[in-house]
Amino acid sequence: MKKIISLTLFLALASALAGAVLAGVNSITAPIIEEQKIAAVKATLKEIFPSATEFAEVKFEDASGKVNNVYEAKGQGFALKVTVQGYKDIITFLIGYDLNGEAVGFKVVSINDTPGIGMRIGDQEFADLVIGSSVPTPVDTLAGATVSSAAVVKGIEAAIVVFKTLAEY
Amino acid sequence: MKTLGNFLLNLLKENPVFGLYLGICSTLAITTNLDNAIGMGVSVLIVLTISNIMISSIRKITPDEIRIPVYIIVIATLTKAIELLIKAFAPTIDAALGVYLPLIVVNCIILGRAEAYASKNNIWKSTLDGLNMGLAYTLSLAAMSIIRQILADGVLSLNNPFNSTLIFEINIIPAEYRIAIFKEPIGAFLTFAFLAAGVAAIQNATAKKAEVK
Amino acid sequence: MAGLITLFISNVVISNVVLTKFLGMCPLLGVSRKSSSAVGMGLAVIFVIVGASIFTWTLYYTVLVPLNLQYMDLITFILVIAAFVQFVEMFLKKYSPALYKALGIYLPLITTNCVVLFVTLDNIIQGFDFVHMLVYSTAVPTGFMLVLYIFSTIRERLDQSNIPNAFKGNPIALIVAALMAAIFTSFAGLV
Repeated sequence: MKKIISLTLFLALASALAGAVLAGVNSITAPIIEEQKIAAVKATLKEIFPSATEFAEVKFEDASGKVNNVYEAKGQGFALKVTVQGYKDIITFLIGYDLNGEAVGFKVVSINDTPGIGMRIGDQEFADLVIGSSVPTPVDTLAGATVSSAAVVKGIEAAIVVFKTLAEY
Repeated sequence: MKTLGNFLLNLLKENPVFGLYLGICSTLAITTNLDNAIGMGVSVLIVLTISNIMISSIRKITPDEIRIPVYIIVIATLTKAIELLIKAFAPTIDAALGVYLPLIVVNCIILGRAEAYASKNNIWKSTLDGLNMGLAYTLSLAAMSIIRQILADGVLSLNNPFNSTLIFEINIIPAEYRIAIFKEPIGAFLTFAFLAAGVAAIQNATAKKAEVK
Repeated sequence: MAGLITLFISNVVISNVVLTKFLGMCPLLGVSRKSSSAVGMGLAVIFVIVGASIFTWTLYYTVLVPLNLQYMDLITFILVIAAFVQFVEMFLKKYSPALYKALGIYLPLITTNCVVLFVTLDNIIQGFDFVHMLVYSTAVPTGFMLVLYIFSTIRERLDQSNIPNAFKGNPIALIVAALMAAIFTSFAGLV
């Protein structure tokens, strides 16, 4: 019995020490990690609205479940972060619309589809196609990368639905 | 010079990855490029060395019955600390390694060395063992990632993990001759199989030599 | 509902935990020599993962989050897994000796099986609710068992084939894994 108590005490002491160490590390790193996250989001938003200085996250309603976040670039438009199921893995991308409903920016954040086929939607070729589109005339699928681009097109359609509720266009 | 030769020989004969098959999950998963391999290798090196030091220094007061849970607590604490530090100071590495970073806890090399070596030897020896094993692990990861990156991307490059600036980049294979499949799981398994077979062949050859003598 | 089925199928065959995430390689190379033990190991892993997931998920959202102790997740999870495995072992030994005989020898190996820790961590990273967590934590080990079983039937044959010396044992098993990974990529696009 005495043995069990001493063993339990030893383990408890070890766990408490571990907790203390991690609390220390966490108090140093937590604010930096938070800053990094904000900086990373800002950097990608800047790619879509290069001249905007102020971004704010906005609340929105989305029935499709595909749109994760919406950011407003003050006086310029909205950027929507969308997640869809691609050919192999989920695809996350950002699409930006200006206040006239023209697509102004498109950036694939994460993708893991077949190299040379589905991965092509991360290339400039598809980005140019998307940027040429607008709310009334959405983009078409990319020949040779049908499954992945069709998924993205569906995501863009969901983004348009959300965009229409936000912007008076 | 002799110690370096010994180190290289041991690297081939008692390689923790290709010889003993320890920690192969992460080896297969993250060796798509040199950046990830170095990031993962160095993280393991740090966790392994510090865990060896700590476990060796508490080896006399740790009750035998609960030594494994205590080791696990030590290793998990170190891993989480490294994970938090990498998240804060090298976010690109964190994004690339993802969930494989906390999975360092179950990397058999670390618990294996704690149980087999650090719990029986003094601090100085355990530190050297940790550095030695960690370096062997890092070099194994680097070897595998160099092969995969060159075959799949045709380039060999290294970025500074703290500010993601390019350190060097060499183009080796022109775009039309690259084999993209080496980025995929198939390529990981194949590269690993051939490296392991190579290590086995060397082991067999040295064993035969010893017999002849 | 359709979402849950998709989640299940895609984690069993498409993003198979062994062939695309490379987790659980140690038991794959170590245990998969006989098809009967592959099934036993697979069932034990499914049981432990579902149990451990329910425990850790509940613990995370009812204790760690309210106390702002998210950074303790790794230590808590690994200790919960170790304790859970130990508990299951003792329970089976006492109340179901037959089942203990069948699964018992695999249980201690499971603590170091990275699939278990991966699933419990990923439940949190993916932000699953309770139902999605349950489906996910059943699907991943089912995929593990599927590969383990197919693998073991191939290895029973491999033992009788003529293999170059250096490739004997694990290297040829990895070549088999490479071919299986190639075959499983054809499941992509299923959902």
